[in-house]
Amino acid sequence: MTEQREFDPTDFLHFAEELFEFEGAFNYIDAKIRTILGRCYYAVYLNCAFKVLGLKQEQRFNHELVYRSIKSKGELGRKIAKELDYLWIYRTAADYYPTTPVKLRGREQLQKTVVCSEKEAKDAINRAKRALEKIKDLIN
Amino acid sequence: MNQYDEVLQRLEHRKFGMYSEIEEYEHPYGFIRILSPQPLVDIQAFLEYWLQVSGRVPATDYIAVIETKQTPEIEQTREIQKRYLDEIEGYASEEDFEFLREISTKIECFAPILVEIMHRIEKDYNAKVELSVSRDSEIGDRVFVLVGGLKFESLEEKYELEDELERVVWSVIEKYKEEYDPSEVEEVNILISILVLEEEYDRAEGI
Repeated sequence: MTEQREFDPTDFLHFAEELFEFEGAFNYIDAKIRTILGRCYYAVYLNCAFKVLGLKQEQRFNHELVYRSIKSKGELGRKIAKELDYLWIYRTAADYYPTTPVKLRGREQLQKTVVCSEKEAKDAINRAKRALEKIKDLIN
Repeated sequence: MNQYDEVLQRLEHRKFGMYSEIEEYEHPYGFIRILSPQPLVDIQAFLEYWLQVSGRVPATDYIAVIETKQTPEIEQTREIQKRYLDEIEGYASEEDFEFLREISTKIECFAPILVEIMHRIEKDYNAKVELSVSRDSEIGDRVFVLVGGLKFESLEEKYELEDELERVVWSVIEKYKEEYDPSEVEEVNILISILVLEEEYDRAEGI
């Protein structure tokens, strides 16, 4: 029987940080940035779902449900939801919009123009870090 | 069998099978008997919904399910709601206001919470406040309190400012939980988002 493996979604953020510093693969700089934007979102989203809300991977849940549930978790939850939403916009642009800049609407952001730039990648990393710190505070 | 029961029975044979419970709902517009757990609390919305799901039920039947029993308390609640709505009207476009009024009739504490949040931000931060509504099938309806006229030099300062405004929102939310149904207050909390206008900062930073 195959041994079960546990993956900590926080590693998505660690990987995004390492990828940001990685100077190789010059021909794939856009793919690198888009990967960072996407992984930062999932680091926070999955932490919210599994660690804060206690959802199980067998359960059916979605982005809206996780956002709403987190936002209802007091003052800290509101702040996490805000970061999650910002990252969601980045992730949506990164994964679904090959042509940028693109204007997208979030749950907390009325409209945001995303370019998929290096600055946005750095911003996404910072936002994910802040959100994960707040998640820690919320759990403890 | 009275007219109401007839309607109910007919609806039960259609899509209302699972919503056969009846509850009486006190509302600023009157006293409504409604099929639970439909979250419809104003007469117009109720009638529209009824029409939509029941289709061929004649209009006279709708009247049978609604009893508009006015009381002094209900009148007073209506007056208070109206005052808040008048206040909100000045902050939103005509189209957005229609939506805000719609929510206010469904969630009793919505208008007072929104007005208090806006007033506190205006007064304590000397900021300009506007309201904007986003109706999006994917992300759901949202009400944005747009806060402008605030100065910040860096992203960190902006985050601190946002944190402060979130604290304002949260303190208002907590206060209203003591006065109203906490689940309704929570719904308002989810619905309202504070948005610090940051276009100029974004442009300078090239984000």
